[in-house]
Amino acid sequence: MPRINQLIAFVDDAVPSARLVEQADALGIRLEPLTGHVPVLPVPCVVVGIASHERVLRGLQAPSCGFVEWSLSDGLPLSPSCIEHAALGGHVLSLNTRAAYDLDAANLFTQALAARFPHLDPIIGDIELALAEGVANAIIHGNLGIGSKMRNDLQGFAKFQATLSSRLNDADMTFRRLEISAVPRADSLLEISVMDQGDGYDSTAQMGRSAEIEAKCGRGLGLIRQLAHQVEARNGGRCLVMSFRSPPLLNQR
Amino acid sequence: MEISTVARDPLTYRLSGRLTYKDNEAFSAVIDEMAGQSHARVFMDIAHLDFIDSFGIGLFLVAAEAAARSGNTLVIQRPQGSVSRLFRLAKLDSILHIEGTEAPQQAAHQPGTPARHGLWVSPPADLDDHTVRIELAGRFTFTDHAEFETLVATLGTYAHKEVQLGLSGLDFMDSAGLSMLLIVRDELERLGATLSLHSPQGKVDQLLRLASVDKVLPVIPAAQA
Repeated sequence: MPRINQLIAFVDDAVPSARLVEQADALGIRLEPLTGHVPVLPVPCVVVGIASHERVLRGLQAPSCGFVEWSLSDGLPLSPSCIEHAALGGHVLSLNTRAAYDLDAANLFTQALAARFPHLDPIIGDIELALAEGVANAIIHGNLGIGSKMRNDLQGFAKFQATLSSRLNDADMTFRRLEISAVPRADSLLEISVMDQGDGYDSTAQMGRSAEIEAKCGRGLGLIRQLAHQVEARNGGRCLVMSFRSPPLLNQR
Repeated sequence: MEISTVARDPLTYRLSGRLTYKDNEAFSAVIDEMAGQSHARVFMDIAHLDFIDSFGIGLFLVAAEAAARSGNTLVIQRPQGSVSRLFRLAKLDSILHIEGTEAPQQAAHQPGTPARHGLWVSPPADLDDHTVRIELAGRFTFTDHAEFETLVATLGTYAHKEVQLGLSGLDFMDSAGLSMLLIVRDELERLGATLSLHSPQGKVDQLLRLASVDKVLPVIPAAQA
């Protein structure tokens, strides 16, 4: 990946860890300690640190372009794709699975998009529902590896709930990353990606499938196809890219 | 939920976090303490209460009744955000003494404000001998299994009845929420009961239409509900 020289990451800690500094150097981004509010700068910036509701909000609100969770304990690298999307003028959110579940990542991200791109208002409801479906799929089926067949009846649902609780407490699974990014593209398209670190799925088969009206599972992708202008699965189903045609040209920041 | 005594005269408690069925024990201790007061106003500041479920609302009602039996008045102060909205939806302002409530437009969801407010399920209201009405409010997504289970736990009492689910207070629902409603319908049908959905608004109405749910479940729009 090419070095990015147009992005500043603000870190909650006054003295960032050596490993984080090393990762930032490799990506070509500048690290600055965050004291109080994120300053208004001529280059994009994101907030990096351990996730909490307040920190994530601070990262998602202008002038910051996103929040990237980073902690020494989870051993994960500073997310290159999120950094790249933020440097391109997009909006990003990268959390581990537990934080994404607890903080309602889709809702927070939709609010951030609505605030940054007010002219999306006529389609923000479509974006919210499609993003919620994408994030739920990425968490449940992707990072937590739970199949969708379980929820067909009450007994299955109870089993599903027990499995979900158990896997949310499994460190290997909850440290898996969920990443959301929104990048304005040409032709008034807003490209929203949801990435997980699960096992992926047969995207060709799943994308062509339409849910029955009575279905109690497997509706998500069908709904997303109805709501988005274009939908594509990449990286073996680990990355869902949804494009929305926005009313007039996106006004960045 | 955390509950602390911030003043003795008048007796004032501060509640913060999430008030749910798990908080029965802590709340019961407070009710006992209030009973020791005599002809006093007892205050509960809930400005920092982020979430309350139907069980939590029941606890407030029990506390108010217990206070009244001792000749005291329970005053609930400063409900905020989704808690304030649910108080209004449940019409608790006509039953409880509530001070410092947000105006409705302030309580509405605003971009940038704390976002997590899950599903709220009202206690059932008997419209007649055969019809039960339950209101849903807040956001109903794949994370709301626990609250959904409280609804499911009551289904056995609705055999051979018509169950109406009011959706006018529901801001958002995803396909997992929809799936849970279909499970409720299946369970009710097994009990010889029926389910209908009433007054869906905005994004919830959009989801029901996109998923063609009206073909398998009666959906009554607001104008007819």
